Amino acid sequence: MSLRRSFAITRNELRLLRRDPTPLVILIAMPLLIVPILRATCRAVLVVSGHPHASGSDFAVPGQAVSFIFFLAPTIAFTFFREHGWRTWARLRASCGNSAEILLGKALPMLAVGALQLALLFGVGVAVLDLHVPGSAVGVALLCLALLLCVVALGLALTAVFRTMQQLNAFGYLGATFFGMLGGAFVPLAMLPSWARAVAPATPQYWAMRGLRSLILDGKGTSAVGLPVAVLCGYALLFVIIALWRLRFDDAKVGWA
Amino acid sequence: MSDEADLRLSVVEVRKSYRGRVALDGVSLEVSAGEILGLLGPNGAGKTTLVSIVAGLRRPDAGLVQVGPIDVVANPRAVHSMVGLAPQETAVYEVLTVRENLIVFGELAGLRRGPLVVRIDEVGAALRLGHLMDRVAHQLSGGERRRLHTGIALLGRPALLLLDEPTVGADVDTRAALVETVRALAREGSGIVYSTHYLPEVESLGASVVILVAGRVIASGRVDELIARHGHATAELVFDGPAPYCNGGCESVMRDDDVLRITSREPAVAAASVISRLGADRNRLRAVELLRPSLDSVFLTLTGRRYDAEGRDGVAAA
Repeated sequence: MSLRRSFAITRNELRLLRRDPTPLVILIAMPLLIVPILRATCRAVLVVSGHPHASGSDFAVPGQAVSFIFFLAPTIAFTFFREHGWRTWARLRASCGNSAEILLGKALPMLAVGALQLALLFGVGVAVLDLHVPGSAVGVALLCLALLLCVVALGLALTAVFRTMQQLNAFGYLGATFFGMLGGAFVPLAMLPSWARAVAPATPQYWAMRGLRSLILDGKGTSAVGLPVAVLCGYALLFVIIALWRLRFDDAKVGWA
Repeated sequence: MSDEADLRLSVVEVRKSYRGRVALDGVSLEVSAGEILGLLGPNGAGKTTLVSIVAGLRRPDAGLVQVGPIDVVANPRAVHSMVGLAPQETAVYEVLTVRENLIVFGELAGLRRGPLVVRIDEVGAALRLGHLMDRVAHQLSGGERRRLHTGIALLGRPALLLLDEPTVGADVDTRAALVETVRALAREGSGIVYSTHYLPEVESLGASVVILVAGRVIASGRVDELIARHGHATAELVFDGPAPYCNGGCESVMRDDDVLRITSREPAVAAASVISRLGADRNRLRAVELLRPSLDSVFLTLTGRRYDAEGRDGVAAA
């Protein structure tokens, strides 16, 4: 495997992103616009549920961060479907010595995009939106890293499972919305019906929110995110297994239909 | 048999099927350094499948494929540095400029910095893309895009160049640029597989030829040898309505729907003789065409029907 070839693919992905940064801008700007709208409602719920000093941003910011980071997964899959649409996929495969070079080359810029997305959202949250993080900063970083790995692996799994862009769009974005809601990222878990609260732990969003809540609302240390980090890494491993099991590099995919 | 040291490509008894449909049925061929091999055949003959297998993108069901010293079947990924591929359908990044398209594939071919810049300029000059370097690919004309598409395959100076229908949809200038570039690469020692269903192009390249029909090689060799061996001069009589049955002396006459096809050393004389015996059917004669010996007539001799790029079957009967 050649890292140089992977980096060549990464540079190309960044060129493509530069040509059309609209998706990236929306992924970052949209949650920043939503947080001020939701803050007051979130504060009311948190006060009632035993956090009298909550600002509302202590749920809204991590909630939007977790919700919107999962929109990156279908975006990652799209970078593969785009190659089929432009018919560059066969050429890319013929140019690379190893399929792993392509996977790494495409994953790296999306890891960077995701890290930027989270960093900006939390940074603006702290600077402007009255977000306080009394817990461990290292814990926040570890949790965000595990979350990013989970999302990138999910993107590869979506690439492997779906054959058309229509399928990807339908499940990728609607699925991110649905599971985000179910995992307690859109509204606090306490507001969901009992059946939803029972199945929420089956979603990676639930574990991300649980870890962030312990750091932000409860002010706990790094050890408090041990279990959420482990579960998110477990999800990442599961998605990677699905990707390796189903991904066939010589399968045709429908790029634009 | 070619000297092994000069052999760029060796294909031995390759077979490939897709869901019970035979795409390749025991195909064998060789390409030496500096050789241009025209891979001919109608649509569906198996040309693209063969090119994909040689490029390491598909595995054959059986057979041996060797690019230089590398066994492609055992080690498909190892051929990437030796092979330049221009697939059948134009493959460029539509939102990137010509230069950016060349940069990414130049880097994947192992070029960096100065040598990459030099090589991009060389390819751009050879394919008349120099003035288009900063133009976004989706703004290029069809011919310009085809030149960029082919140029990408040339960046790494591949030992084996695979061109799958390189001049489809191309204008005259583009065809000329591509053909000259192919000749230049062959002079530099690359082996070239030039897949096409456009027969005159292969004749003009002076290439050796493999003719594929329904996954099988029906003829191979140099163009002039094939024409000398199988190509016959032919006269075609085209009628309004079904062609009449020939009356006497029809050993070399084939009836094909509205055409009577006469194969002869002197087709004009033979045609005149047949016409003289047509009787009232003479009034339905619409056109007479004389075909010189060519790859088209080679195909006709070997398969009993005119070469049809779309792969439609003709009917042959005397």
